[in-house]
Amino acid sequence: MGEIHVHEFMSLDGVIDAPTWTFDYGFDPGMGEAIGAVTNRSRGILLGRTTYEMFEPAWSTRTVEDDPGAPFFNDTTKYVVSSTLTDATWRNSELAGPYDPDAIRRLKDEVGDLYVSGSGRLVRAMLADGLVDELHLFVYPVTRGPGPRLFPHDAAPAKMSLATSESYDNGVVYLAYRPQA
Amino acid sequence: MGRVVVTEFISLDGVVEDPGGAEDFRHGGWSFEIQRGEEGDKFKLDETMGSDALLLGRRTYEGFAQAWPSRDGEFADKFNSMPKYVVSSTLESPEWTNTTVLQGDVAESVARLKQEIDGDIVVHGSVQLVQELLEQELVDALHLMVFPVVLGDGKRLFGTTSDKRWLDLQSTQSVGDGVTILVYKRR
Repeated sequence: MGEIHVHEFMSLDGVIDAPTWTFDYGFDPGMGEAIGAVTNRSRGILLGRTTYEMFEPAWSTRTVEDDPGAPFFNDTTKYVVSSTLTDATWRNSELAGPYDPDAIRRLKDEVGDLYVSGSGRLVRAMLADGLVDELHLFVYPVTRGPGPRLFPHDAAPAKMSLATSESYDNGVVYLAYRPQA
Repeated sequence: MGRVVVTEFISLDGVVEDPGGAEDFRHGGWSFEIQRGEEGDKFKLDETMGSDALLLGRRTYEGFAQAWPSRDGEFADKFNSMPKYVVSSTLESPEWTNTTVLQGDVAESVARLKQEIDGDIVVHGSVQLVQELLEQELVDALHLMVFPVVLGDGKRLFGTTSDKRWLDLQSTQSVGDGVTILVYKRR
């Protein structure tokens, strides 16, 4: 059984919208290493439609020279959770249909470790269904105010184990948590 | 010139309500369910021994005023003896030693306190007050003890704050059973 590893760029107040606001902080090499450790173990990428549609134009034209993460995003099979998308045009993409916890469990079984980025709606549903094995949160030293949050006000109470904590010179804190069974 | 230091026990989903269990919140006392360890205790002790005054909202004040006067030890002695300022329009004749009630405009009162007190004016809990202080840019430092738990409902520290880039990360520390201490300063 593979694991689901969720990677989020999050403001200190918990907002995880399209992280254009993170650009001001630069990208510390240590963050690249931490994310690389997650992507290296992943055999598939699981995305919600909104994030998929944002990633496709951003990543599909990049090469390893532009960004060391490009081969992972382009070459790894992407499973897109959507009830509306009919055609996944980014190479190595598969439609996973509407959200269905059993379908996700099957993917974990068949594919192995899955990397999830952004995809707030999908992640909230998977957290509620106990499908997330590890949350990799990069917490930025800024408050965003309004915006979609990783943990909604009706999130189910859950205890977590802290797996990793690191901080970087740009003020970003990396916290990895594993929900306790 | 004093500085306002806000210190909070906070869940991973940002909830700061009733970590000690003195209020009527269904998860009240949640911070006691996870060990913060000796280093966590030391952080809180150092923070309190370095405080020059407490600034509290009415609800937190009332919880503290119930709990602390009967306790002793280094931490409790400091809590009980140092000046306490409580923001309230309703509280009269507070009984906890060395308490002053701040009435009227909060931002003005706190700005004046910062002029009068040379040192750390520490705010514990007091979510409503803290949100106002954040909005008015009166918070100089933020100490967050992040507990590895999602609570779901409950009052959140950053409920209604606007978009602000006012933080510099000063330090991080992992303590106890997965608790992370994040210290930020105003930029």
